[in-house]
Amino acid sequence: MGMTFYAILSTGASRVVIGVGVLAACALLLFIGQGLLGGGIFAPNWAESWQAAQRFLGGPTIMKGLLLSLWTGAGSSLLALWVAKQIVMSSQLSSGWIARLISPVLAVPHVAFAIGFSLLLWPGGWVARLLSPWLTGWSRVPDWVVIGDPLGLSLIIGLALREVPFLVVAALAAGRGLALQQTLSVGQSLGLSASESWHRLLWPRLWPRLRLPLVLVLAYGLTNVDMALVLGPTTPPTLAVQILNLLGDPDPIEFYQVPWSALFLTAIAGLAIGSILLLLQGEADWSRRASLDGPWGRWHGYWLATSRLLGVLVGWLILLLMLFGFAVTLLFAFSRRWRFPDALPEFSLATFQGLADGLLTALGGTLFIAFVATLVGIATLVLVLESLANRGLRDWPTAWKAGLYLPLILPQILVVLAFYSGALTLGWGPGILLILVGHTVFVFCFSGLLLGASWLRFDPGFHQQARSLGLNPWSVLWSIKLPMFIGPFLFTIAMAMTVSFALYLPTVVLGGGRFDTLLTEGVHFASNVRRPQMALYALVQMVVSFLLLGLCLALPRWLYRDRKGMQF
Amino acid sequence: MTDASLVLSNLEVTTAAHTPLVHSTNLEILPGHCAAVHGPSGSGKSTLLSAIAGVTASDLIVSGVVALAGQPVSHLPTHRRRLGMLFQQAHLFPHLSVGQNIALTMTRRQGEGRQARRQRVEAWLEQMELGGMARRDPATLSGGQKARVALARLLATEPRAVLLDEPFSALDPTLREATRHFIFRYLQAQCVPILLVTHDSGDVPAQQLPTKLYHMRDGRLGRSESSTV
Repeated sequence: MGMTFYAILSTGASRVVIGVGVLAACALLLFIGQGLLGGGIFAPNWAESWQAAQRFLGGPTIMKGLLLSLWTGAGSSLLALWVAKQIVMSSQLSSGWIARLISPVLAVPHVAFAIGFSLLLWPGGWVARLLSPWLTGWSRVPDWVVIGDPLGLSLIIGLALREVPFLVVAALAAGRGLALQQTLSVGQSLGLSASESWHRLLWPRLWPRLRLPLVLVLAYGLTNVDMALVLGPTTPPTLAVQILNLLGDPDPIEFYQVPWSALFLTAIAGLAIGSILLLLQGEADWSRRASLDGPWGRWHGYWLATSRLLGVLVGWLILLLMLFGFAVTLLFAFSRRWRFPDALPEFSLATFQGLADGLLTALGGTLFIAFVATLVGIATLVLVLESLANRGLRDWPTAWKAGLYLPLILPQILVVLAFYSGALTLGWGPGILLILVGHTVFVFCFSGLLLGASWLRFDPGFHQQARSLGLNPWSVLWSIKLPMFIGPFLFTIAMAMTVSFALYLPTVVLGGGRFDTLLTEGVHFASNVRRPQMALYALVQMVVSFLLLGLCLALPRWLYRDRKGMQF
Repeated sequence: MTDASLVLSNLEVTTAAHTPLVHSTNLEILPGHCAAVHGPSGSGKSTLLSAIAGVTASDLIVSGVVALAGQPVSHLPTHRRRLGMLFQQAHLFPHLSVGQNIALTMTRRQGEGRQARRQRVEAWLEQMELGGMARRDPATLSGGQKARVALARLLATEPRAVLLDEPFSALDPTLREATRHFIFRYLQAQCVPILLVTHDSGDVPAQQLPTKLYHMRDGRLGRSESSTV
């Protein structure tokens, strides 16, 4: 009975997920069909749809928004990759402190990071206050546009700094099977310096494993809305933000442009990602060929050493920004008045008291959505993984892997609009249920990529041993597998909840803009430049995320503190 | 057929593409007796054992009958067959203490309190010459100690037959002899059918148990020339 129910449930979960995937694909096709040809919630016929396309393409801000999206997305991703590469090299060649220290920044939601970043670096921010007037001579806030500058530089830097920890963690995980020390020793025995060995022997093997994480970073950079609303330019904004504005436009003529613009953004992002990957592959091939040309010259050695040093400095800068960003967010959240150039504000609980009701509602909404999405998403994921493990699979099958990556690589606005129009076609209006479905899909995909491979590589000997000792499959899962996996499992839960905290478009679009979370309220206050309010919401987001991650990292270490075989 | 014997009738394992991994196998092992299957790596020994225990990969097809005490068990899921299995690695669960490893699957007795169960675990450890080690972390044990805990954990489930899948091959030569002697001495006292697969003829418990020797090659089981020891 135990076996049969377990088999039915785990196989059933796989079929449900495949069914949801097929439904989502149908919704996407329906969205494309209706969006381009007319029908459903979009233009009533092809002619009006085509007119909307012409209006969109002829719009005065589209090309500038597109260029901004490409420039900020590609620039930030490449900058993040370069810095991450230097940090990984440095941590693999000497002390790994910096890599270990910046990894927790992953838990900070993008928008909270962006708010901290903007509060530090705007002309009236904490950095300017600490340096004024004794160094800058400023007694009033200068009239400079630093955050939201028209060139998108603050967005590039904010995005890059936030994505470096993700790439570092991905690179360190990818490097685990590469016999690091042996490879470096071989290089050094051939007369190469440590840096040269790393670049010539390790990086060419690490790079192919980093392509997919980089694609995720590029996809987010090119198409994100939340960071762009806080740090990006406004005249005009990036293309993704312009699409969101069109979506909220009550004029149907403007609204009909939405599917064209979403597909345009998808096509451009796809082309950009493809071109960047080709360029980086070309660079990798060229480097490999160049590495066969004998020892590198002295200048190359200097360049390697300088870039390594720069990378580590940027790593420390990220840490400092994180710490000072948290501190300034805390200060702003509890400030009443903060005259420039005072280093500290007049403290008050007024902002907190004024927003307490709204804040608690947003916190409750955030935790409720994240909890339900994580519970359903991870329970389904475990059942699916068990069904695959029972088939003897040691990694995600290719079709599954593609299905997991696709929603994370496609522009979120396209995926969310497909869900939205698909649900409306089925007579299902926006609301909390649709939000939960959207969050669960993203949480499932993200958690699947984080947990899947290690779960499927679980030593089958333990499973066979436990079964032959008389444990049924449920007992094996609860008593053996989950406790042995408690570290990665709890980490995945923490990251899944953090992913849910950071899902802006699924909350706004699928909820019809009627559900407040810490993120949506934080973005609302940030785009209206209400600093104490945005600081308070960002602060609560940071604290909740850190507490969650801290708990999920500390709990297994504490529970199994005297078990040598349980290393985390 | 003796009541408590382990009987295989036409047991066969094939891949989904119908390539045979274990050809039709017939075997009877009496209680207190051992069948030792010897053969090179890849000959199908471990697949045969997995098929008897019901832990084969789901893409393999198992046909034929496994019967214990006259009752077919091949239709039962692994955990209901009550066939204890020892593997090459002890596979002690690293999140549990030595005592918890034994207690987790130890047969439950009606009305037995926590204290009584603890005493029973301690008694098993005493028998294995591991007294006082119930709270120890399995990762701190030596290879021989791990093998003995694995044996105690197995015997505490009161199995109706024991399957041994090269259980000594991970041990170094000095430990190997002592552990083998120790394990077979205890298995002899259990008086259950024992099936041992090994690629080392030195592992055969000829001194301690009535043993029949078999060899396996390309999935076919045959009697060795010196078939009874």
